[in-house]
Amino acid sequence: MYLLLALLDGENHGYALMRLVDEQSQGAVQMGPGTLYGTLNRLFADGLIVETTDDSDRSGNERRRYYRLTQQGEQVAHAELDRLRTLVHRFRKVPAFKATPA
Amino acid sequence: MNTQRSIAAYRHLTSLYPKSFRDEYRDDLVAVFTEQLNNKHTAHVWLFAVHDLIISIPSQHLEARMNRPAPQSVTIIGIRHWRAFLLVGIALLTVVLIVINVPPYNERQLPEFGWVLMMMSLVISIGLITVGITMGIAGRSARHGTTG
Repeated sequence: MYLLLALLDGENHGYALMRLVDEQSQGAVQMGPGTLYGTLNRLFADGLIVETTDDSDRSGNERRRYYRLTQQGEQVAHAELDRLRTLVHRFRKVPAFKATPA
Repeated sequence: MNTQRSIAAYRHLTSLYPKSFRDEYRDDLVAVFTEQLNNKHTAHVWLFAVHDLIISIPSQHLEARMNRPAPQSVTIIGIRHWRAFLLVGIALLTVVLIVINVPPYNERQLPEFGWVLMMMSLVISIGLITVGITMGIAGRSARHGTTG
């Protein structure tokens, strides 16, 4: 899911995605290369992302493969964002949610 | 360990991934590992890489196994367990033959239902052996069909 959310910003390559996930999760999710490409492989198989390496003019490292969300992938990512927003909105009223941990 | 050796060692370790995954992503895995080496301390990168390999290699093998297509049309569950059928059949047959023929078991007077039970066991054991042999032969043919 972190990868899908990272790809909402636009197409990117593996290493950049890894760093984006690290940043967006504030270090809570750190993916290694195997986990990263395993997840990308599954997302690709599920039709949520596509490889765009051949579509663009790349200056620099030509070995890099770029990925972007498909329409279905974008829908899933936005649905997940909505779900998270709703969850936070609902629990905002719970006193325990407001309390900051000691 | 210098950078080139680290990269070579990591490339070797990626051989532990299933072939399909390796063929598709090995260069990418090594490229990402190389970028990590360029940006972080080698020991930290290795610690992270080993942790990642331990987690991702078994999961990729599991995924590859789950996604593997079934071998041709002979996909009965038991086809892969023909040895078990054969073994159970032979074991049962042995027990039956011992009870019927070998002293002191045959000296005991078996009640009538005992004989019925022995005959049923005999039939079942022969059946299991036949099924085991048939499945073994069918499995062998299927394998030869897919590879040859």
